[in-house]
Amino acid sequence: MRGRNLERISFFAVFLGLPLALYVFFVVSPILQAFYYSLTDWSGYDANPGFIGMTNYANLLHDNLFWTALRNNAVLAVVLPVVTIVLALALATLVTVGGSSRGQTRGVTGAGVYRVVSFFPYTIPAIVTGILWQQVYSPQGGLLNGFLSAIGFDNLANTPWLGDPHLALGAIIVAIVWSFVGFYMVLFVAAIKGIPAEIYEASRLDGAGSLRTAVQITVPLIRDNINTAVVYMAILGLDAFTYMAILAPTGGPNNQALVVTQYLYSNFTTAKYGYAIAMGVVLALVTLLVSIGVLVSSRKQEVEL
Amino acid sequence: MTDVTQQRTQAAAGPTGRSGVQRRSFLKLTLAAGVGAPLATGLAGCAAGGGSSSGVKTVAGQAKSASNPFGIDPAAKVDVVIFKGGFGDQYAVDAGKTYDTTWKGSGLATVTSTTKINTELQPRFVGSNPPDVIDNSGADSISFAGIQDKVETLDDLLEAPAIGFDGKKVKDILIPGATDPGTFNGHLLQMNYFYTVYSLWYGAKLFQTNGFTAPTTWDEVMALGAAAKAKNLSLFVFGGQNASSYYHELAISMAVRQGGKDVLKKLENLDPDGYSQEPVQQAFTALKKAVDAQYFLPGGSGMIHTQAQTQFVQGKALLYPSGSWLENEMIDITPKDFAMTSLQVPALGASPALKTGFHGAAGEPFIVPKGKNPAGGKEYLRNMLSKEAATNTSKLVKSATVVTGTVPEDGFGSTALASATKIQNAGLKEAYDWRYNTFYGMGKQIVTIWNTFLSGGMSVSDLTTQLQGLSDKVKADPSIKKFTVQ
Repeated sequence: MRGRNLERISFFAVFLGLPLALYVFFVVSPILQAFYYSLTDWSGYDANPGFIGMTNYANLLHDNLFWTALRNNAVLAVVLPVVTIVLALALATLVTVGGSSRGQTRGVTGAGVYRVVSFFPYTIPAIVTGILWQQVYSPQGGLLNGFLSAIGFDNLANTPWLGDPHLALGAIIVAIVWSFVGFYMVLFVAAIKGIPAEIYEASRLDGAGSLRTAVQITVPLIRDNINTAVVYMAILGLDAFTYMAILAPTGGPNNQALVVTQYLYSNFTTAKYGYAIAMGVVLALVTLLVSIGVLVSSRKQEVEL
Repeated sequence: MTDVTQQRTQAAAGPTGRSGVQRRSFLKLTLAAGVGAPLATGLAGCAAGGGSSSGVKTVAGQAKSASNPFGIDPAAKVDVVIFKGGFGDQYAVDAGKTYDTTWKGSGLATVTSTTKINTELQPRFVGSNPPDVIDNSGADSISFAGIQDKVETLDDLLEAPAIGFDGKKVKDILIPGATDPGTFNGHLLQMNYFYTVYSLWYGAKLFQTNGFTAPTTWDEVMALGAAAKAKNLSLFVFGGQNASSYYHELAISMAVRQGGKDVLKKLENLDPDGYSQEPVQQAFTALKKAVDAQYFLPGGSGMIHTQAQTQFVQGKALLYPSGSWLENEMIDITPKDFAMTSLQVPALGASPALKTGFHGAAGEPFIVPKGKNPAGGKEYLRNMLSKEAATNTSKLVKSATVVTGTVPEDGFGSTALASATKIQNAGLKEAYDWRYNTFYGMGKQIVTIWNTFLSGGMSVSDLTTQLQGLSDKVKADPSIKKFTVQ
């Protein structure tokens, strides 16, 4: 008995205790530390920061730039998931079940090639994506303006896509969507492949068109995957630092593309670590709430196959 | 290459100047930092160390003397960390060899370099184990406000004998005003090593081909703009995304040249009328005329500084305001015969108060933290400021240092260095500089405001109100420590 007990204890110690200890040390404790520093006036270089209570948070309330940044993040957190997922779903449907309505359910001709090609952008690091699109959007000789003037829109030839307050955020969203659509398409393709073909055949026999099949058959059956995608894209929208740092280095025209992470970072560079960390804590809470919100709301809608 | 530029642009662009493409490298290393930071500091239980400020052993030195002004231990190592930007690090490695020669050793000064000054050294400051010399530059530099009380004063460096200048002291061999940007409350805390001339720039070859002459007054600038337009060229180009503030620098510089150094006093002291002063208004109005005449290359608001400068060296725009780092920054894509040349900022009116004046500032701050071997750190700086090392540096990086008389007339073959040195030598007595925009961290907002103005979306009075608003806000905030200029 004793031996088995010991075995159990050592089993727990190795498989639970050790990971737990590592987790506490490397994940939980830094989070708690960060929260503590958000209550101090830490410059970033002192060993003994002064405790100032909630002052940093109170200052955040009155910081217009912070609210502008948070608003932009909110826009990203809503628009990015919606646009990316709609596009990814459409593509996934096309390459799996969107093909000829005769015979076996299949994708459009050349589906394999499209699947591979649309995954390419995802393999490019975010930084490179940013630089690439910066060149695409260049008002002088950029690909986009060149294309527009080639098809007759000469008056748009010098449009500063990243320099116009009305266009900047939208232009950046396009770049981010471009880089993620392929990945989520592949994710959805895998999910759709898991749906028995009989279901599609039955719905086709019942006379459902492709749009109706996609909305009423595919979406409910791969809802879990869609929810995951929503959470990931929303979190990306709440961060977006990499893309913004390249495409809107100072927050864009009139701060229309400023995001919290960017504003937070600029406070690191002015030795206001305490204040910056307070922003980080707020952002972390917002992220947590959004994730919980998405997952809880999805729970009620699960479909049993 | 842009890294160093950005840092040195601060006087013009402010903190945002550094935020351009440079963050790329920040991002690349976030992972490294994320892994490194807990290892370096996490073991102490918390990132700030909880007050373990003990543990630094200062190297025991020798008695101070004329040959050993800081009383160093000649055998002790000096730990030097250099920002490896547009200037590279060879000049600093060579200065280390000068140190070895002076003290008859080898490898005494260990010079390492990085682009991640803050990321790599922040934990060392928290752990009270900083290097002996830091070149605190680049996009990822340490905010000086955070470490101001953790560095040695360099006042004794100024009083020490200069190497290679027969009996002169270090302070006697520096360009006038060279120590101003690094002086805080009367003490020299940063030794700025490179000297930057801010001016307009043009390609002499392009002007020659088109039969243009370099303008000396704003009227001539506007005439040049019309001539350029006739040839389907633009007069100016701006990188609105991160460097529209270069035109703020140009405007202030022209205003000071027109109205004299008193104009700066009001701006530096955050006077409520700072931007309403007549010469400043003249400068703003002048630029507005160029904006309205569409003399700016279209689309500037969507470009970053390197994209704008690419247009400039490709000859699409004739003039560009910048510091003398410009040549180095764009050297890889500048046509060989471009002949980049420095041009004194044009006079706004008939008789400018400062005939030969120019905006000049020392940049690239070197600091000696309170650490293991601060005496050795100062001795390294003394060697770096020696005639031999400074000449070698200018030769290597085609930029002037703060050490006088180390750049020959031909600028080591660089038209940019030669022309900037000419402006510098002619106008040193009337040189001016300011730091309110960087000191109070207004750079980011200045970029945003000027981007809108240069895109044509703002009147002169709006520009004035918004810029004045930045100053007023700082002035009204009691928590911000102010400096005053007499």
